Amino acid sequence: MIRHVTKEDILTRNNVTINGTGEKVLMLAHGFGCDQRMWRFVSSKLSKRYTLVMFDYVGSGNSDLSSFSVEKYSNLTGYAQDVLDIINVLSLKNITFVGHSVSSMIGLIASMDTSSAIAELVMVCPSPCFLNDLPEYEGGFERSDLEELLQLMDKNYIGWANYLAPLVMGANSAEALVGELSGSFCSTDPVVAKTFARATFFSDYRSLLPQCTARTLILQSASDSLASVKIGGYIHKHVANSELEIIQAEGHCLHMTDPDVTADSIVKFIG
Amino acid sequence: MMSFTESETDQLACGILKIDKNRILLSGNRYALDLLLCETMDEITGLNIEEVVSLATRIFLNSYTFPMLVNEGKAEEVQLSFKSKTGEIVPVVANIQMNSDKTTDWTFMSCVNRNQLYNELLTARNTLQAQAQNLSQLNNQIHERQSDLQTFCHSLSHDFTGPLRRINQQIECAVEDLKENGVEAIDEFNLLEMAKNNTHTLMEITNGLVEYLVADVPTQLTDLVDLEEIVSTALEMLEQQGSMKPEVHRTSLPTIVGSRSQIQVLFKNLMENAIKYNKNYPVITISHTENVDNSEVIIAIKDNGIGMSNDYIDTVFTPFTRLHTIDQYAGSGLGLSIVKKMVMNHNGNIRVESTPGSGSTFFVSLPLRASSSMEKPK
Repeated sequence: MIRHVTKEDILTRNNVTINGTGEKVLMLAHGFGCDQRMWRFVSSKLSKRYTLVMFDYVGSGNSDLSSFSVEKYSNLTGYAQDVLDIINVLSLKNITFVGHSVSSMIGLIASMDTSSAIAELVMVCPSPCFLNDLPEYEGGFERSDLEELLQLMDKNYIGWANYLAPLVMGANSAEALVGELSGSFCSTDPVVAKTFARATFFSDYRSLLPQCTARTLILQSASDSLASVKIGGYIHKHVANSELEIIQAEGHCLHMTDPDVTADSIVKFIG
Repeated sequence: MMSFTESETDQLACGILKIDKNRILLSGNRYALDLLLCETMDEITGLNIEEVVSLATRIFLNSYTFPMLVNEGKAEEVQLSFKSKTGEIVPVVANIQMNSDKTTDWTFMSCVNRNQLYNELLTARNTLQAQAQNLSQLNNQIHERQSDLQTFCHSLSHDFTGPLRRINQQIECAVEDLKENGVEAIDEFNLLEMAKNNTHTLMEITNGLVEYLVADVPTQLTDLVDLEEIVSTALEMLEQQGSMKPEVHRTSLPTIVGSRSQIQVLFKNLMENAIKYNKNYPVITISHTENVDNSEVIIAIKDNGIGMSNDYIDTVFTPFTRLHTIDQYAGSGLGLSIVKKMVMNHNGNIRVESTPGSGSTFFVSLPLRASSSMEKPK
């Protein structure tokens, strides 16, 4: 039986929260590893000017884990579809999509959908491809590094929740995923997190950049070992309507470590 | 409050590192230096922590550990890989806390053995996952084959026995017509009678084959089965088939849980076997005991047939095993192999004791109650 998916289903699925005031809507999308709580450092400032729509990707934070499927979420298109679903059920128009890291690419994919209402993109520490493709492109990592990352994640999950659940319940089966998320800030379900990791780190979305027509701000950290300034330059070069701003900061989470600068740049960009 | 002196921290059996808010290494103890294969602190002071870890750890730090530190102030029992001055990778487990000035304190210890264990665990899990996948595929194949088997049995039962029955009827009609027309051909009539007997044998074998194959089709083992009723029905069925009526001595048998249809076939075949080998006056004695923990019933079915020598005892449950010619004792040659399959389906057991010339006793043990392992998927 095909069940009609309601607005409430989608808002619950992605644990959508709305706060702030203002006609302009900002959709804040967290990156790989954490959940929407990572925006709390900038949200107080932004919510004074804008309406903020925040959410958790399926498998992260307080999303509905039972909606997860390895098939749908093994590439970023599945996550972009969820973004479009949220935009549609809330009837959002002319929004600014602020995506951290991999969410920058998810936002870009969503913005290319004809029904999309994404007018502007703010990419916080984005990378269209983490793999090296030398000499043209320096993603920063070799495939072996990323395989090691998956192993490292696994080793950390051993101490976390649900590690053996997929085995007990049958590998990658739907039942394995019908559990409760631990509610931890960082994702702790091995099947979900590794699927997201593969979609994030083993894909190459460089070819999509020239197709992006949304007005785009690229916020790159001056020192980010995951997404270097060079990568910011690469995106800027290939996205026609883009601005690049290098922020003198350390690390890959500008919105957490340097929230004021990040919020100010977003405000300045939106105007 | 007493605090550690520098020389005391150098003697600690765990590593300590202090890192500033920009992730630059400020200080560390001897354990940390030894782990990074450095002589003095000068060699690492001023380096970014990301320069002394593996590339995978860099991603992990940025995706999990640093966000966790900013959000929750601490990250506990984190598996990371440090990279020594000479590029050697050392797995560590770390507890990290963030101070109010955003500096972080790292305590950690090398966990080479634990890492080895983790690697083995991951390999084992991957192997198990692959095996689980294989099993699931095999299971699907088995289900497909069982479905084919059911279709095959259906076809065997209808498409084979139908023509055989018609051949039988046609022979009977032909013989009747010939006799009505006064034809006298004793040898030919004998040949036709033999052909009729052969079609009867073929029908028996076909029915046996169907029963034998059907025993492999999964069935629910959840019926309440009154063995008293089963034995009575089996005897009635045999009488209707034209078997000799045996003298039966029986105890009051219990009710068990299983597949009614299979247990019915099982007892019918055992009774048939018990009657078949005494052509004069078959006597069957049925007795039973329950085991100590009252979990299974052992039923003994004793006959007064011809018995068999110990040399043949192991082969009686093998399909198409005949200890005698089909002319001496009719049958499909499958009856006892079907019995064995059905007993096994119920997680039971069967064995036989026999003395040539005085008869055989079959001991069938069957669980009294259903157990989860008895439940077969439909």
